[in-house]
Amino acid sequence: MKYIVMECHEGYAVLMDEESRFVNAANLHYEVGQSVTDPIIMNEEHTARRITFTAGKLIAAAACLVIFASAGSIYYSRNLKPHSTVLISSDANIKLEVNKKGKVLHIVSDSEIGKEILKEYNGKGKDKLTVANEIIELEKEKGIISDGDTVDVYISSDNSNDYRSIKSDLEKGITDVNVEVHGIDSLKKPAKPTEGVKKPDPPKPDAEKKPEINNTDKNNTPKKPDQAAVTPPAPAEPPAPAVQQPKDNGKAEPAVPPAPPVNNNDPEPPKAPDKQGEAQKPEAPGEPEKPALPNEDEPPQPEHEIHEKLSADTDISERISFSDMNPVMLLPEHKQEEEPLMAAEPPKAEPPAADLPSPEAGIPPQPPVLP
Amino acid sequence: MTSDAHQIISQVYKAKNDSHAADELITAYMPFIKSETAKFLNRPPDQSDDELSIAMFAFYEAIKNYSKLRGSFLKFAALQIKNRLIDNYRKEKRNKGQISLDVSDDEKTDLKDTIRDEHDDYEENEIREATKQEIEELSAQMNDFGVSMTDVAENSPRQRRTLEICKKAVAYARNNPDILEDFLRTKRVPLAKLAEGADVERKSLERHRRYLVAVLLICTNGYEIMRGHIMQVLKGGEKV
Repeated sequence: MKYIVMECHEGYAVLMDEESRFVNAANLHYEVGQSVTDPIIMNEEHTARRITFTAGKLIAAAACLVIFASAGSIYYSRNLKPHSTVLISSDANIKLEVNKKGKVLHIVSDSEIGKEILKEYNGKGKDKLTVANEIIELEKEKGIISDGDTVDVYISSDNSNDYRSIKSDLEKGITDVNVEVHGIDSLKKPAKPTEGVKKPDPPKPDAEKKPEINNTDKNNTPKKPDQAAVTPPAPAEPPAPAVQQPKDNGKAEPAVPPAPPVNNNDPEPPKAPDKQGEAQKPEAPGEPEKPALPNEDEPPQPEHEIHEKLSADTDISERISFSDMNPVMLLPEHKQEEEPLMAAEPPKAEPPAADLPSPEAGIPPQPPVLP
Repeated sequence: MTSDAHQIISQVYKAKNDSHAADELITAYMPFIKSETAKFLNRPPDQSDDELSIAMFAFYEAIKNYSKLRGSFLKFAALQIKNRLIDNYRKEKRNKGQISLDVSDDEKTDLKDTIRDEHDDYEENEIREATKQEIEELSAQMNDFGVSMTDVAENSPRQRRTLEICKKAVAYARNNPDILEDFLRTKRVPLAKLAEGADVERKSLERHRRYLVAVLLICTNGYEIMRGHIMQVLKGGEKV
């Protein structure tokens, strides 16, 4: 860009460029009216410096803020934040909150006596040991403590070193009374027994429940006969619930002989037992001997065997009854399962007996073999 | 010592707004400027050295940019001179691979003497003289308006957006000779008319009032060379 030299001074020259801008530049032996290219133009430091100056101010302000904030946090953590708690355990139960320097920040008490003491006493800002001694003296005056008594002091602290230092200070510093210093864990100890008492409570019901179950299982043998004896009507309806019978039978068998329907299931087809059971009642007396035996053989082992057998029998009876009731059960898949059962059912011997002649009829008559 | 320091500071503050005072201060502190240049060149500078001119310009910059918060003026000025000279040295270093026309091919003739000169020195001198006369007239006319070239240089728009606003205003005045006549008669820049006619903010024009005085004067009759030099700005303004 071309510049015209408009004015010359000792240290600078005023130039005008082709866009009619006027600029100050170094006067490299220029003359007014001369046209020049590539002059040394004055730095536009005014704006740049203003920007940097304002940026510098902002940075300085931010740095100051950071410094003040960090200093404030340090001051707070050292002076205003409670780092440990000292509980002077007595009827007054006065609790001191202590900062890192060992100065008392707050004095609190939950008990009425303690609150009364604190109404007259304000130890904020004092050393913990001084406050502890003064409180003990006040308690002495009130008659809460007497000379020679042992006072428990509980300390809770974030730092183990602080805990040790406070403990040693209190042990050495309090001379009027015997002091036993404990950690916060020991503060919880007295509460533990109560919790320990409470804790076993929930298991008790469990323990009680379990034995009940066991007792029922174990005592079933001695007791249930009585119950069964008390409630004999249950077996009075033997035919309808063929499934329920076995359970009742196991217990009520001794009282009621009609249990045999279970045995009757094997030889007889499904619906028949209702009628046949009644019909067989007179015939059964020989069979009920099986349930009768366990009563004679008091030990439970045979009973279990009987139960198993009976349950197996009932399963079969159930399966049979369901298959009879639901035709779906007769689907091929089920048939496969039921086939052995069906195969095990010999009762259908009667129809084959009727059909016997037919196969024989189907077979061509063999010529009689003559001797 | 302290009185001398206070005296320098008062002189510097006076020279900030007074170009004659600045010239006097530069003349008064010429030995200091030369010594700083000599430190850089490792030799006493000649009057013809560009480094000395640059050092003087740096001293003027120091006067303009100095404030009391920056400490001693002379230390500040010395730093400014040193930085300027270093900048110039680096700039020259970039062009070091190029051969100067002043270097002689043999002892008798310089390189520039071997190049065919298409310029007419006589014509150039005439144009320069004519331009000088125009500038002197302009300076005299600007004095009537209470404006110096240095003021105009300080008041000139630096941002492109502001320059465009001023271009619009000048173009509007050029297309409306009545405004220029009023301007010459009243010796006041018709900011309201310019702002309204050019549809620009009056505040922006007010900030560059002294610059507008100079450019509007150039746009009046009698400054053909300078008007031809800044024709681009006027064209640009007309386009807008």
